[in-house]
Amino acid sequence: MLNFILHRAGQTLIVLFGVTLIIFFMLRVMPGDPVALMFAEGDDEDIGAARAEFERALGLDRPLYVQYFVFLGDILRLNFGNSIVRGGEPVLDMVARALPLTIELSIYALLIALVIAVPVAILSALKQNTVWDRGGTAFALIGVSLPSFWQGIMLVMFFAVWIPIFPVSGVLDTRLSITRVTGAPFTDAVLTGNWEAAWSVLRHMTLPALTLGTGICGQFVRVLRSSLLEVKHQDFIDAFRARGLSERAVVRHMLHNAMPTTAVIIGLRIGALLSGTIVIETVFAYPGMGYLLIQAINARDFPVVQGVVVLLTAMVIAANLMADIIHGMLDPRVKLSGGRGNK
Amino acid sequence: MTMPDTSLSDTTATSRTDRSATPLLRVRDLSVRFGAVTAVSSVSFDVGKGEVFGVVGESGAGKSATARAIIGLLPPTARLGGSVLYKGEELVGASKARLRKVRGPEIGYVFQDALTALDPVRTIGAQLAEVLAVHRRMPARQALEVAADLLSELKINDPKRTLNAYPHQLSGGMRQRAVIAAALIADPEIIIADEVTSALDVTVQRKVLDLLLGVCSARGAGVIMITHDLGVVAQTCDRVAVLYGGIVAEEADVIGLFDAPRHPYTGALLRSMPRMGESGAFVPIPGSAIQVFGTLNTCPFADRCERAQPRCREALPAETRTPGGSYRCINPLEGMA
Ligand SMILES: Nc1ncnc2c1ncn2[C@@H]1O[C@H](COP(=O)(O)OP(=O)(O)OP(=O)(O)O)[C@@H](O)[C@H]1O
Ligand code: SF4
Ligand SMILES: [Mg+2]
Repeated sequence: MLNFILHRAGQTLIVLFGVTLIIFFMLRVMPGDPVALMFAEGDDEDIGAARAEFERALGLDRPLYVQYFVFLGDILRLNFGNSIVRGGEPVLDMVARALPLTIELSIYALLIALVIAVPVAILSALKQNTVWDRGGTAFALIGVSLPSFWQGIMLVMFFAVWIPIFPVSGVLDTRLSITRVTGAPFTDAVLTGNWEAAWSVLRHMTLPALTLGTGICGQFVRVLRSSLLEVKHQDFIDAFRARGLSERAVVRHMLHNAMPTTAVIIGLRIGALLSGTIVIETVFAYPGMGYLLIQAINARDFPVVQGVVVLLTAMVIAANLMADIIHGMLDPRVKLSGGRGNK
Repeated sequence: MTMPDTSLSDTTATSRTDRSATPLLRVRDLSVRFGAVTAVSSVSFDVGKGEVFGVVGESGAGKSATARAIIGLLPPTARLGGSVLYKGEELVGASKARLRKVRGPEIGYVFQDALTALDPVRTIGAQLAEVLAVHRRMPARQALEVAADLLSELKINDPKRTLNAYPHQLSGGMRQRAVIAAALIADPEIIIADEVTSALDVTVQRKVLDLLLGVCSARGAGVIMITHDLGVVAQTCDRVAVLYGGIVAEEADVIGLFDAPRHPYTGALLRSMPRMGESGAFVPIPGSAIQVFGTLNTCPFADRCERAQPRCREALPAETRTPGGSYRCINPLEGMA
């Protein structure tokens, strides 16, 4: 177990290092820089001096590699710096506002995906090679291959233009407000017993969550279906029947056996889910991490972009780690150990 | 007595004389088809209370298909014909609900491969207790006690620990005992043991068989011992049916079968098996096992039989009664093999 933790910690450091390197230099290579955006081109010479002053204050005049090591050092001390653009607000404050929204949205999307995927996968695996199976597989394929931004835009059109049941932007009706407890709007609304606001948040989250959820749902159907099919033909399934178990109980045990694999895949898909939020939050103007990231990129707000990306990466790694631990808990044959070749 | 063929409907074993008044299990003219493949053409035998009945044959002879047909545990694509009477009750075509009640408390089934016959993600205890929960509505705590007793009856030293173990944590022999326990725990009157020891180490095989038979005879349960090993038959069975190509080539009591086989296939099987005391000279059966398609209307052994005659290919040989059993051959062996 200790071996496992050390191994994973090492991996995590390497990944984080790589990500900081990539994001840092990508930002500098990108055309346009924050200062240029602030000081419009073609102004008089005075601004030239002010501009140099500003660059020096931000450390942007130093050689790139120096800037990088300063950035790395800050991150290691968990200092993510301040926004260049928004009156110097600390990046961590901005993240603290956006992150709970993204987490709630992701959980909602995950739930939607599971609620759809589990019955579809069961039906399609049990009735293999029937109309049910074909339908389920086709559904999964569509879910996997439809680009989510397109799906999002379709949903916006449908629910904004034709039948406006669900709101298509924001998190909350403007006339309502929520007392802040954790920062996560739905949770806070429920905690403070503000049911009207909770309902409003839920409705605001529905379209983005649906878009995200159906995107990953296709994956889940595929994984769950194939692991159910694998289990279905094992001897012990017939052994259950030979002991007089009902079909219902047999299916329950099949699911139990298919769970570990599915849990790992869900963990791996958390990354896709979070990167999906980047697009979807922008489409639905939902002020989470993705929205924050896109805005920061547009403003070339380097510290915010860097901070958000590093934190998102850390979250994905944490999710994968959790999936492995859950896998180990669900499947007694799995021993958590470092490196490969663990049986 | 003529039986020209075994088309699914028109054969009845009317000429058969009852050996005991009502056998526990009476299989009559059982047939199993998977599409064009005929796994079992016509199989009939009786198993009495407390009797150990052997079913022996090469791979593909239809042993497992016969066994699964008895408890209705075949894939939906399988077509089942004939009759299986358990205590006089017809099981072929019985409702699913009825079959579920038979499986476990009436007829137990021990699977071939112990590693794959146990659920890898649940403890042995959970799997054993589940059977009692289903059939007896027994609470878990009590069921685990029953399970522990059964495991110690099967000579497992530390039953409590075994109950808490997952299948992969046990040795092959232990696992096979757990599988046997799962089949026995609801106290069935007949146990079907399908090649229970072929996956085991030779040294453990004998021991596991003895344990299985010991527990069964202690409960007076009948056993259907399925095997491809005549040695196992000789050591454990009272009576035996030799299966070939989905028919019972010969049925006899074990001593009669070994002393005076009538069917050439039985003779060939005996010759292919090294006997105690005799050195080295065993003769393998030439050719390979037959795969039957559609209706069988020849002697299935004809291609490999050294006594074959043109007549053997004209129809499935009828069942000939002997004092101790029956055989299906028109040119049978006489006396010693
Ligand atoms: N589900 C199935 N679908 C199609 N054919 C099958 C199926 N199960 C068995 N068969 C065929 O039926 C025949 C008899 O199979 P069976 O499993 O009864 O043999 P067996 O005597 O138990 O052999 P073994 O010693 O290998 O277990 C074989 O030819 C096999 O190919
Ligand atoms: S019927 Fe003919 S072919 Fe078949 S076993 Fe007897 S002698 Fe051989
Ligand atoms: Mg078999």
